[in-house]
Amino acid sequence: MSHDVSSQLLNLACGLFLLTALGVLWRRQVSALVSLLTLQGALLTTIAVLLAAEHHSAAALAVAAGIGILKAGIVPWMLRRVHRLVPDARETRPLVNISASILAAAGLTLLGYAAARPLVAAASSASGRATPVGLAVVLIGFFLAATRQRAISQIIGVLLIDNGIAAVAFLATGGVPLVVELGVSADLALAVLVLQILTNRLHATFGSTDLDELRELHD
Amino acid sequence: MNPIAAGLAATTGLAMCASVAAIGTPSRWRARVVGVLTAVSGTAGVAAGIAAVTGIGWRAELPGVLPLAGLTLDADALSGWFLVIVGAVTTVVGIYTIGYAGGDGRGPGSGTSLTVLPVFTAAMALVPVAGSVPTLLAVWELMAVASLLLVLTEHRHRAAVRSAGVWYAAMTQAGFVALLVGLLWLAAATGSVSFAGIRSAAGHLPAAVTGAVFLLCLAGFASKAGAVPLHPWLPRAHAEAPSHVSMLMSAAMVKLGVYGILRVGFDLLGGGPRWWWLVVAALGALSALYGIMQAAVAGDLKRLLAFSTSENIGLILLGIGFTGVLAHAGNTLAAGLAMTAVLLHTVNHAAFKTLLFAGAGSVVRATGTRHLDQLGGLVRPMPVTTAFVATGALAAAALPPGNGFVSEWLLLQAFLHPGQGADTALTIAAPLAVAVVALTTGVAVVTFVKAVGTGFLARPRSDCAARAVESPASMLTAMGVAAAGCVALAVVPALATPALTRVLAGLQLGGTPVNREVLGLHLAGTAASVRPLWLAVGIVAVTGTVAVTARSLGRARRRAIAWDCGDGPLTARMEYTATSFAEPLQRVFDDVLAPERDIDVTHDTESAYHVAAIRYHQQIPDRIENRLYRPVVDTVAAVGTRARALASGSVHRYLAYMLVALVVVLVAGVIR
Amino acid sequence: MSGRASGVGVGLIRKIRSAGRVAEPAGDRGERLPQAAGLAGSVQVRHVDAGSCNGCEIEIGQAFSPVYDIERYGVRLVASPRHADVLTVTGPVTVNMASALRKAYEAMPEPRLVVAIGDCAKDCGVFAGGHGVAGPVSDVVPVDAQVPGCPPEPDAIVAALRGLTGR
Repeated sequence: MSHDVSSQLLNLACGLFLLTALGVLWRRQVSALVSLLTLQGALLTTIAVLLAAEHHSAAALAVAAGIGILKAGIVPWMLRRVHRLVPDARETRPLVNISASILAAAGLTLLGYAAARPLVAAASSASGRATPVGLAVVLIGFFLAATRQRAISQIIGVLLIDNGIAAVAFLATGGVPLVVELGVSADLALAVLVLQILTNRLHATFGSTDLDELRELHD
Repeated sequence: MNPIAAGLAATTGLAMCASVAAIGTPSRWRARVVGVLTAVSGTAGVAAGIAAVTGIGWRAELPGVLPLAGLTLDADALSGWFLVIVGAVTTVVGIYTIGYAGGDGRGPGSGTSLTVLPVFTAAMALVPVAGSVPTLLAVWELMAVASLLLVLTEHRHRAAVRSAGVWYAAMTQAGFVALLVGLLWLAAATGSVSFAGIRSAAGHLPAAVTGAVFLLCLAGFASKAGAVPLHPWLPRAHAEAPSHVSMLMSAAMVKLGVYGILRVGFDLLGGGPRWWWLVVAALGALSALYGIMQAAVAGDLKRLLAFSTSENIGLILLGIGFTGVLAHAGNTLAAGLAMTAVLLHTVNHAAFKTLLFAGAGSVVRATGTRHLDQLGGLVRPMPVTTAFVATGALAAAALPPGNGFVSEWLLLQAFLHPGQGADTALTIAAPLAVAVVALTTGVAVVTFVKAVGTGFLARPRSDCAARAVESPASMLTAMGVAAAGCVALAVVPALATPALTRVLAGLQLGGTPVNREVLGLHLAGTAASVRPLWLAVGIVAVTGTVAVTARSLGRARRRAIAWDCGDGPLTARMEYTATSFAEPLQRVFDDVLAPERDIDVTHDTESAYHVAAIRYHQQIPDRIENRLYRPVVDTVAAVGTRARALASGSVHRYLAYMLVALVVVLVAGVIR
Repeated sequence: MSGRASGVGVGLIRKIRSAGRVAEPAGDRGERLPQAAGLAGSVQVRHVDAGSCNGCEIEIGQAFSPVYDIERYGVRLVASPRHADVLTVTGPVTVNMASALRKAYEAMPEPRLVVAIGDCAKDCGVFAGGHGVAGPVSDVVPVDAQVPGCPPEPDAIVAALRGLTGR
């Protein structure tokens, strides 16, 4: 694959990556959210594979494969399990309405681009110039976690943050050491597990997973 | 190998062994093991200090020990002087701990307390040899945290200990923040973190920067030294800590605050303008007067000793202030004399304060109380302790033949002989300083007569005092070592002269203001001299001669009762109490002390004209604390209470805080 | 005319000279006590009221007042028997004060003297035989001089104490 084609494909993958994050912000059905997350995981894998191919590194390819299995396979499966046990299917009444959320996402993307300017300036390749996308996805994930009420939305927000961080790591360095990626993934798996348990307990105690029911964490 | 390096390695190594041993040893042997190891560690520190003071320098860099900056150690004569002080006090405390912390393994003998004790002493030994800003800050904070843990040793026994711990923690951290800002600013301005680098570059800094840095460092170091108005932690912490910790804090740790001022003011910043030193002198005068006033009316023995520490630090700061002013005027001989007095006084104070706190610890251990109004009559069951405490009190009262007399005499001489070039400010300040020292010494005499007279002599005022027994041999040995030090410093202080000369040279205050003569101190350029050995021998000889002559030549003696106004027998209830002894002084200084009195009259149920009981309560508050600190503490508490509304319990709000913070930081990064 | 003026002048000077002086002229001295010779004319007196009706105390107070002015003759009141040479005692010694009087006497450094003032001190006076009375002063402490009277006049007290000072 020529250099030109691979950089075009990379840009496409990054653009779609950002769009899936916006989609997560837009859709309210939990099953749709999980599908979008799977798609995002696949896109991240694509980015990693493209970078591995560019650098001709077998280790990076192995990492990409691992990421693909984890983010596009295992994590969505766990989410679907949670969703099956806890049958509320829609995010109701977000704290910030959808149109405002989309506008906020646009603002956060701009902020991501502005803040990552020094990284872009120091970048040597096309992948380096795409780093702001990862930062924007991190900010959008944070926003999602802060403004949605269901516990499962918090999980998805955290997952977005992790995907964004992974994207920044790949794009800025052109490949992440295996050890680092393994560590981050283990962390992520643990986080998802904890949040899954939390959701179960919330549902068992309150009959719903509305996080506003939890008000005990104060002085 | 360099003897300083060997000594310091031995000090820290033995301290670590002691700390580890405290974890592993069963409680029966713990105090003995830790005490012995700490004492040997202290002796190694003394050896290292003496080696440093003889002029052998030493520098070492240990890059891996601290992250980013590494540890830099630099020992010169000034470090050596303070290392000797710390090491000597540690030795005495180590011996003392064998007896004091022995027993049931709770309180001072607990595992935590004995583990942290050697850490504290090792950190204190490292402060004078710190050679860079990160090293100094790291060991300073280690020392502060270790001492805080030790202060809280008996928190289960008394509620006052918790309050003392909170005050101490807050003030020591505030002082540390001031120090941190000051030293880091200095390092940033000069471009180097090591003291050598700062020293060479500090001359080119603008006066505003050096002035601000000096004030910040002064705030940090003066609060650790216990200078008024940064003193409220001192009477609380020193009184509530177990006595071996009080010894370390009062005799060694406050001296490190003085070391800091000397290091930053004279060495790193190279002297500075005159107003710095006038501020230091004013702080010193205030501390001396206020400290001794509060000590004179204190009814708690350890609070009395703590305020006496504040007073002595005040005298030291007064001397330092004058050194700076005289050095700035170019009069190095007079400045050298003042600094000699200051340095001698640091050693003397360390010696007698160790002794006094050791005695106080013995008293508390034997009777269970610190209140002078409940003590008394200890001279019979505890004669050795009383003799040692009397030695310490004589020194603290600055009367001949005590060691406090020598250094205060030198201090007065420094104020009386400012030499040529004395301008208006100095002409006004010097007599004021003399007046301050004179008043302080006078009130100090009253204070220590009160402490020894009401605390130890006459008859026991309460049951706990009546049940006292003498302390174990290790505690007496420790007191004996400290007393021997006091006596040696009292009769042959000139032994320290060569060391002093080298320290003065290191601070660029050259010359030998005190001529070297083994038996006496002769001030160069004046006709003033004092021969403490002859003084001591003379006093003892004359007293002895008079006593013997009176006995042999006088008339036959007849024993009679103590006059009791005819209606005896005299009970302990009729003795002077500490409160009544100090009452005339308290009345004279009523405006300053402002005692609070509370009279509670309970009338008889049958008739309002008859009184069933009257309760009188008098308390002398710490006015500076009330005027200065209460408003600050109340404001902070009010702000904190209102800030509670931020933590409402909603998870979304917390997440929103995080998001907003992240966005703000990013925006700030973008804008800049 | 000048005679009258000089008479007025001399009278004025005499008035100025005698202004504030109200003391009675010195009377007769009482008999000198040989035991008091060692005091060399300076006598410190401690007074003990061993149970008197205070009539003698009033007269003693008058003796020390500016009118009778015993301090001219070297006698001074002190606050503690430890400072005293002479103990003056009034009143019959009551049961409650017997030991206190004895202690006051023993607290005095030697040479020490006792002067019993008033009839009660001499022989219990009108209180003789009372249930609270232990006895006259000479029963409790050895007495060196006595001043009879109920109460004795200040002149008599002054004369007796002058016998101790010899002035």
